[in-house]
Amino acid sequence: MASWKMRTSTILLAEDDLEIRDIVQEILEERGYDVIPARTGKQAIDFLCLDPRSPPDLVILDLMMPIVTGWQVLETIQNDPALAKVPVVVMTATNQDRPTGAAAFLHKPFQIDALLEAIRRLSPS
Amino acid sequence: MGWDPGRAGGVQAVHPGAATVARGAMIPDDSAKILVVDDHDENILALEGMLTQPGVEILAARSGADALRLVLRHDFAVILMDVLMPTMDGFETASLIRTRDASRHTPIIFLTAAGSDVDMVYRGYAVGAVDYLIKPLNGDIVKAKVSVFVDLFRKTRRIRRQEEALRAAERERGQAALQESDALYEASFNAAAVGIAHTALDGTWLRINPRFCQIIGYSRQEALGLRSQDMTHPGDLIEDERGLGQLKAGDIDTYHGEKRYLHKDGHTVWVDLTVSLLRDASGSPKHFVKVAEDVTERKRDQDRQRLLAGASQILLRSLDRRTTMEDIAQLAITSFCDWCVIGTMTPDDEPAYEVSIAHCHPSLSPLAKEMRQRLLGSSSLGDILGRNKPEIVADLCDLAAESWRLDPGGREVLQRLGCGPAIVVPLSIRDHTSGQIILASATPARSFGPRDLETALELGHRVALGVENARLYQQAQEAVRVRDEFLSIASHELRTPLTPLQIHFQRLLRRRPDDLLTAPDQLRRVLERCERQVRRLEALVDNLLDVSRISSGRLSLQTETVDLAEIVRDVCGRFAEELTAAECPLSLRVESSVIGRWDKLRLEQVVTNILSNAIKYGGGKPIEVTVEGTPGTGRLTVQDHGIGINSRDLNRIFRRFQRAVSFRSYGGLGLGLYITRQVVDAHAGSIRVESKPGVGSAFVVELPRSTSMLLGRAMRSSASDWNTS
Repeated sequence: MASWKMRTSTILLAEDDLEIRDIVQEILEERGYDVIPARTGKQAIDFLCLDPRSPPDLVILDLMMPIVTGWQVLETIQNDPALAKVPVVVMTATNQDRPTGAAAFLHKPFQIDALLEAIRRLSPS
Repeated sequence: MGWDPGRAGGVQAVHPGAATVARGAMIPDDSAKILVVDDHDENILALEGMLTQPGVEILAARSGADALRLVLRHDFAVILMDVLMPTMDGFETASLIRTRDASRHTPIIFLTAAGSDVDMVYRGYAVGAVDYLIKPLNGDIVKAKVSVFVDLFRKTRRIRRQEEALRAAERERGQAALQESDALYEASFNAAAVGIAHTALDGTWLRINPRFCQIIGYSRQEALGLRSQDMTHPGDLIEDERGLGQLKAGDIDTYHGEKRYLHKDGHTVWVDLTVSLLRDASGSPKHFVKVAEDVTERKRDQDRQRLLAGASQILLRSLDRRTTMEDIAQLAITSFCDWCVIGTMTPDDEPAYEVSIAHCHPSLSPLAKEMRQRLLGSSSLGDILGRNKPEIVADLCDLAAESWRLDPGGREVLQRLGCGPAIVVPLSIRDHTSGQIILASATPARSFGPRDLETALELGHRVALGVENARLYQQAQEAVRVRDEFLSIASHELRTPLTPLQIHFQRLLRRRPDDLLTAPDQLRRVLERCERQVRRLEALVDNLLDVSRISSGRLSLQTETVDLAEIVRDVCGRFAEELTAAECPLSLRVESSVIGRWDKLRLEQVVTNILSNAIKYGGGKPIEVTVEGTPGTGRLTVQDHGIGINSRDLNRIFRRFQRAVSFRSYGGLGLGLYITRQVVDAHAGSIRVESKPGVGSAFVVELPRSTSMLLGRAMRSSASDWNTS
């Protein structure tokens, strides 16, 4: 009898602030998600291009990151046909930043529930 | 009476066979001549005897031929003619006399013997006889009849003479009146305050009055050889031709318009011209009559008004300095001057100098551009633009030679653009001069007067105001933008530590109280992390407060004896976790202690700011921190190998709210280095940075180990902190 393993959702977490990155990673891993942290925009893009045929199920993206910004990461995702379908949850400190192509917005500081709800809604069940 | 018949115009010596002529005697006005024609001397004598009287001259002829000869030469009151004469009889003679106009009406009395037949009498009347005298002649009858005709002759002559006198008088009156009228016309023509002239149909000047000569600048002599077209401005020739053509064709009665003549000395004269066409008796065009009024000054006034009004419109329209200057220069050359230079300086802006040059001849545009480049590259541009002396110069090239410091190539360009009179006015508001306008003439001919200078001054003032307004407006907009950007960044900065803080609390609150107590270490760790966030927030708030205090001068130092090396070590320790997370290896090189009298907390702030910048912008590359000292100073050097700083921004980053990076990339209030510098300045120290984009940056802080003046020294902000450029 074949065992039926529930596939874990993989989430790429791109956030340059150490504290935020750590706590969000902790919360998500507690709930069984597989979290890949990225400290910079460059690291995020490197990971995405590593294996374009198996992209993460979801990306949580901080917009303000040094050198390669979250905006640029978002653009990269949208321009790559293999990645374009991956839903992106954007974290932003201002209410004004609403880049097109984001599947959901989290306004810092956000409620944990809001984060979890967004992930549940957007990741394949 | 003593009257001598031989004298008083009367009796002639009678020579046989000859025509007799009055000789030498004065004939009074009232004298009358009688002709007696008879081939018999005795008859002539008899008649002379009968007819002699004062005022009467008797001439005799012995034949018809003689009689005709005499009639040709004299005007007779009456002719007494014998009918029967050999060769030519009286009737024939009489008809011949009648053929002549002058003697057609001279009364002829025929003398005939008694018993002449009636036919003869009728024949006599038929040839124009007025009467017959029968021989033998009766003296009284002859006298009576003759006197009738003599009287008639005299009366007729008197009337004719009166008529002539009247006619002569009238003619004279007519002449006098004509002369008077001519004189009057001549006077009006010459004295008129407007120009009056006649030209031939082809435009040649026929007559020209002094005022017209004055208007066009040519003497009468000079003008008469030329045509009106020769001194008409080229731009108005076609319109002129058209109007005169319409006049000739009879389409219009008078042609009225404004046109330009070129004065003999080269400048343009505007006239209000009315032209009418004189035709001859048959209606063909004869010549033109032109009346011209010099309206140059009026036109100049209009030009001045238009210049100011146009300038105001341009200044309202645009905020861009360069565009405004270009537009105003273009406006000035449309009718006020031949070429125009506008230069402005605003040392706080980028670029500091701006120059616009426009020339009315499009072919000279490349030269104008070249002159602009030369001026912009000139080291004396600041002096030229700062000259605050409004004036009309006689020759711009002289002025330029004195103060523009052009090389020979530049002087040549200037010559070709055109040298002549020019108005130079400053752009000034109150006492501050921010530039110059030069309104120049390309030829010596065009000149400027006091009214032009007034207009130019007003223009300079308006342009200065306009440019200043635009600058202030842009500064204000920029300030608002910076403030908005700051607020949005501040919001981000404050929210960043709040986020994990918030999440931590949420998690704790979800836990059941028992769970919390069963894992105290875990709880402790979470609370530590929360505390760290609070401290981050605190630092941010402190930064903001510091800035506020600095600007109100309320920040002061509290100095004590401290070791710089120890402070640096402490701060580096605090950043350990962040350094690891950023994967930035830190190497710390410290001499022995570096002791000085400094404010410990403030120095910690300085080291923290510089180090956190190095990590933030260090790109994950190694950071080297060095602490050293000389006997008088302590020195801290922080070297990173990150993104570096643009040379343009090296000074800017120390100013308040200034950041040299895009805020999409980096958070940060832009206050760190500002506060750092304030602290360093308050310690009488110095901070400098060397950097190269893509290579890295090195911040060096030097602090004197002690200064007696440090105690209680307050940190104050200065006006330059407010600059937003």
